[in-house]
Amino acid sequence: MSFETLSNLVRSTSFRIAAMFMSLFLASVVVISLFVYTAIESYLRAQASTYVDTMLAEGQGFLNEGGLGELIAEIDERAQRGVGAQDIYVLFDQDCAPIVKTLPRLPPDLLAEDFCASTLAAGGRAVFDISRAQLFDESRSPGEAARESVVSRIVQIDSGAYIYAARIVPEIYSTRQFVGRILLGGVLLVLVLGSLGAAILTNTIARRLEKINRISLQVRQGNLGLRIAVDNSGDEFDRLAQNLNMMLDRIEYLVEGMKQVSNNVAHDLRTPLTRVQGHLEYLNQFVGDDEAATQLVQKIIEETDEILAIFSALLEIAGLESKSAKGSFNLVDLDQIIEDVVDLYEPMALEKHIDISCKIDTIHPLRGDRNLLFQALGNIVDNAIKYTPPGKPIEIRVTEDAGFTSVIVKDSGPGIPEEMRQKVLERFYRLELHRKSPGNGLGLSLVQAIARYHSGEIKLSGDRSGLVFSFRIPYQAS
Amino acid sequence: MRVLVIEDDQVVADYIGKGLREASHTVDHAADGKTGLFLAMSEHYDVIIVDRMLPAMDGLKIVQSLRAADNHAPALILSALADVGERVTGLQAGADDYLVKPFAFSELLARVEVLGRRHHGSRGFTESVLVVADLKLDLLSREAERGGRKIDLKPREFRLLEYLMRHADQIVTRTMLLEQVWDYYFDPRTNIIDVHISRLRRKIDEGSGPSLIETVRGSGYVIRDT
Repeated sequence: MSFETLSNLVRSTSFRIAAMFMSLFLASVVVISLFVYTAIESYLRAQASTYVDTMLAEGQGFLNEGGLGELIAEIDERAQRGVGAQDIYVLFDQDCAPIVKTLPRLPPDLLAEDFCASTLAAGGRAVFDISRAQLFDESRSPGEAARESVVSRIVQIDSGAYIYAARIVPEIYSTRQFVGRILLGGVLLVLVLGSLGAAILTNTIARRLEKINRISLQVRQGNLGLRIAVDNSGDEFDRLAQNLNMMLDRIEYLVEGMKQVSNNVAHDLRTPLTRVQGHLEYLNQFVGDDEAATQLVQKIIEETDEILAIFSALLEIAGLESKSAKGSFNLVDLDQIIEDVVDLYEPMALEKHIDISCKIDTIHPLRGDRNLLFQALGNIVDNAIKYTPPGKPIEIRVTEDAGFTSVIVKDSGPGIPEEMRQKVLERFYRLELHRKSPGNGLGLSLVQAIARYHSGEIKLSGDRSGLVFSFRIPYQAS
Repeated sequence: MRVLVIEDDQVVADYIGKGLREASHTVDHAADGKTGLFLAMSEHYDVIIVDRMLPAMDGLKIVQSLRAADNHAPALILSALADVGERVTGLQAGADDYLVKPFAFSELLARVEVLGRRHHGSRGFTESVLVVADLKLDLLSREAERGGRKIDLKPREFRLLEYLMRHADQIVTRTMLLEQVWDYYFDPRTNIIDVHISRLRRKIDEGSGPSLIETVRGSGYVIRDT
């Protein structure tokens, strides 16, 4: 995975949602484990406390039965026999010095001078962890670090001595280990399942959104007929797709309507206008020697010519936009075409003392319509000459890269402000400062239609020192 | 010239017919394909103007049938189909020229006259030197001179002058020049051809007599031999 796709992934909403959910799951696993552990531990402790109380009651019994001696004897005996390895009795004298105990070894904490006093001060009950190694012989203990939980209680008996009973509760420790393992397993499980879920979620959402994105992009590039696939599942993506499609229907309807109207107007007005022109030419013959009338008729003929030219251009653009059949496509040499264009337009440039320099790389022939390409490139060069002030140069470059042949025409005119660049490609749009110069605002629309007809595109760039017009169409390397 | 117009649209047919008669040509009209083909086969015409879409038989078919019958009367196809591909189809069928509707009548007239004259073995097609007034164009040595003064012409200017001289006394339109001299088919819609003509005119007229290349308002250019 490249860095870019990775950073895209991290930026994607679905990834962030998945990550958030995973953190929530992790937190709940931890909380549940802690809760379970705490519950079990307090239950075990409570049980052990009850047991310790029973032990003390039993010790009291021995005391009642045979006095301190009987208790000492009993503790001694238990110590000898090693019975109830989980139970510990310690008898302290009044000064808290141990007298007798049931275990051969006692943890040093227990034997500390202030142990029984501090335990008494804390209410007599003590709960602590102790390492097994301290309780038993090292040889018997499994693992150095093993610890046991001890629940104990100390009470003063009648003679003034203290009897201390403790129970080792190994379940607490094993529960702790058990819950720890569950916690670890749970975390791992959440991580694995969570990542998997996140991947599926991200992938599903991203794929569906990507589909919508892709279509939107193509629609933006002018392919208004495209629609997003709808699966009728009724989920939010489906509804989004349906709504977007309806929006596109509406847009297409409006755009089509606009085109249709302008095409119909052009088409329906063209025929009567042609007749008007015919009548005018006929009229011209009757005018005879009247110079003023001749000029007037001639002027009207020229004006109707101009109107007809606009209609023809409109219809030509409409024709190119509606067609996809490339019946007129042949192998053409774009370098030859651009040379012919320069040849045709050079005198016009020379009249303005404009120098056209041409740098043409070796390029592949491409499939296209040479007349349309000539017309498009001619229009571009014509524009360049029109807007370049006298004495300034025009540069033409023909290059090839990544399956595309580009013709780049750089003039020395005032350029087109960035925000206007898209607009000048629209039908009839003309920059304010160019309104007074001849032209009908259809030239660039036609160039764009021709580029698109060849599956290509045009791009305007440059700055105030000149407009850079690039005309790019694909070629197929054989 | 005798011209046959095969066109089903009565208005267009009248418009063409009237114009051609004004230019002192004889015009026959057929309103459907079959009648048109019958007339074209049975009579002799200098030019046949045929609409592409016709009842009974379409224009392409008519031209194909004529050529198959070894009838080589020049044919001009009129069509509302503006596709460049359509032009190629028309020319492949054997037509000599192709004009897209709507057209200016002057454009049609210029083309019809050039076609008619060409068929009559007009000037220049076998000659190696073209002469118009005191202007001489040597097609072999690629040299031009007027009244003994050599004129230095660029290749394209030479072809432009050659075309004008081959059709001396005939009006040629800007579109015709773009087609014949530059070999591209579209309506230039700018004065770009005028610029070429005026440069050529300057070279030819420089210091010698009256201007030979005349501008015909609303139509095109003509080089006069008289």
